[in-house]
Amino acid sequence: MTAAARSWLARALAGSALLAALLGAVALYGWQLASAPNETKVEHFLINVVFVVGLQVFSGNSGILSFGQMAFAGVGAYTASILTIDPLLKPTLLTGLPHTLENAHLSFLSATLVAGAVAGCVALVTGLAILRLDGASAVIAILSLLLIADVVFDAWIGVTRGAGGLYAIPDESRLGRLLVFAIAAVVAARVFKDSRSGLLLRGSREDAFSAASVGVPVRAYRMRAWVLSGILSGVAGALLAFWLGTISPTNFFLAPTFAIVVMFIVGGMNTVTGAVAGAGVVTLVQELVRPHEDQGLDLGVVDVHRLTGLTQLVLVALILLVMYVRREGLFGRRELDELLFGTDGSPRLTRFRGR
Amino acid sequence: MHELVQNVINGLSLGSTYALLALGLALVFSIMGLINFAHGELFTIGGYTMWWLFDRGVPWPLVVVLTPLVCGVAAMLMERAAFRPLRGATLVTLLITSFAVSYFLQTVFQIGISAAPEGIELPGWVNDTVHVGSYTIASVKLVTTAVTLVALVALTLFLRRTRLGVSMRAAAEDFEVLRLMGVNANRVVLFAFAVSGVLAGLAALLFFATTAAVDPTTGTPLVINAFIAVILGGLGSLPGAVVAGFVLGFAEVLFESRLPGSATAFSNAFVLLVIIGLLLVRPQGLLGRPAGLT
Repeated sequence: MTAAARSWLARALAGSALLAALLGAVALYGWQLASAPNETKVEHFLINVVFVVGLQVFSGNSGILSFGQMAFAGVGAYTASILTIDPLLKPTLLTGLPHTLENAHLSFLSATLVAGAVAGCVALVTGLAILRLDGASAVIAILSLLLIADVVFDAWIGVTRGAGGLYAIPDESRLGRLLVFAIAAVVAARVFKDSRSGLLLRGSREDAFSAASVGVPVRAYRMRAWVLSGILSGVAGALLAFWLGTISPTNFFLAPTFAIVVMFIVGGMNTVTGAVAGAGVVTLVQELVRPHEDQGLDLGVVDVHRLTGLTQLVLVALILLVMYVRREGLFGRRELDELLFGTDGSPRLTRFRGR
Repeated sequence: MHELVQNVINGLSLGSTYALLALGLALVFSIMGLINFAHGELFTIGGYTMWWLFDRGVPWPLVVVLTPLVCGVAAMLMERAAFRPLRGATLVTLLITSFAVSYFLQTVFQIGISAAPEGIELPGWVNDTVHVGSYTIASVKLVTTAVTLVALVALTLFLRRTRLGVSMRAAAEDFEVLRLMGVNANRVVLFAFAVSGVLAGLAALLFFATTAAVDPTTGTPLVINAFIAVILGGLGSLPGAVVAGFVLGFAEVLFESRLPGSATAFSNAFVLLVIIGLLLVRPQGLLGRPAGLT
């Protein structure tokens, strides 16, 4: 391995270590307070980190906004659930399962990894078609993927229980486990971003034609990012299923898609730091607003009886604020470590280079 | 044979809704590069307008005139409030903003009206049927198709024969050059929104005359399908959007009537798969010119 190769890898790992430390601190806060509601909030945050980082891997590096990540999340969630639900319950819950799946009873870790792998395969197959398109066409094609997935989750009742919802998913989510997955997602995203593939893909984001004209196989790099983001989103879906205990197709359709996109935009699309920060800010706002949801509001002049959808309104306000005031989000182009230590290998970072 | 005729009529009727929505979307997209998710809410506003007017006993000819007008005005307000400050922004910025506007309006409908569907009290004649030979045809479906054709002819004449229409087509070709020619860009964009709003209002009239119920999210799936029609037709191609809208309508009706009973629930997924398949063969769409990295 050349010195240059070591240096970008060391840099990426050092940068992710910084974010990992931050995530660890938040998790520690969750443990320390140890009251169940706070722990749940921190767990929700960590799952959201995996979701947003998954979106960032594709959309942040390629510049094509994906509204389709929840399709992979749904595939991951249903896969993990089917593999872990007690085999005794399966015949009554799910009537359309193949025999091998009926008896399958995997552990949390293997089910989550299989979920990621299955979602990655779905990404590979769909990417062959969707990534032939570019720009606005690609955006809409990816959105149609979400629609197809929703139809399948809804209509394949023998395997997903459809709109009735799949329940009895074992409660396997633990703060520590979620922390490990969130950190792994951050490391994967950061290493990909700083790798040769990530760098060339980011070049194509700035100017696809120029990149292609100097021989960058843009579509191939987009495919790599697409599959990695599919895997991460599948894992996030599995974690969400274990955390919720009950899943239905609406958990993987437009409303959560919007929430994840808001986190992604608020934090800033171009950095992994932004993905983590966006997940943090938006989860915090969501948790602050939630108690007021469905409450009456008397504004003196206007008396709104029930604020159904208050969370949505706040999300909309957040996103419009970012669009009109700070289009690049909280973290524009630089990761946290790059902000702190500079981007051109300032003295403090040389020690990570092993020289 | 009998079933075929019914399918053709149903396809024309559904395709009309898609074609009108897709045309409005394509018009705005070709001029300012905006994928307008909030177009679905213009359509929903049309539905609520019909509900409100019929509820107050307004005679139907007036409703037919007022609904597209209200949608047109709403579209102009939307342009002025949400999109003008972002003129010249990137595709992603515009896309996200329109997504947010769409969600905002849905929430407003939810809080201000109701999350539950509102029934529209349509006049009795929409349930009439006409007999042509041995065929029984819902008259409203014939009206639907006729209205769409008239609207398309009128729009074509407008775009080809009037100064403003020619400016709009020129804006779709090259917005910067149009401004250099001294054409008032704000007026062109505002008018494009107005036309797309009126088209959404017409689509709402046709659609709600057969479904008769509106809720805050009614517009979303329809507008997504209309988007897919825009892509299938070739981004920015107005005739392409119309043709693809009808193709989509026919495909949906065909799959719904021909798939075996257990698979009908999947019909929308099949339609989308077929369209993605078509795009694999022709990434630039049916009538589009090759563009981008395809």
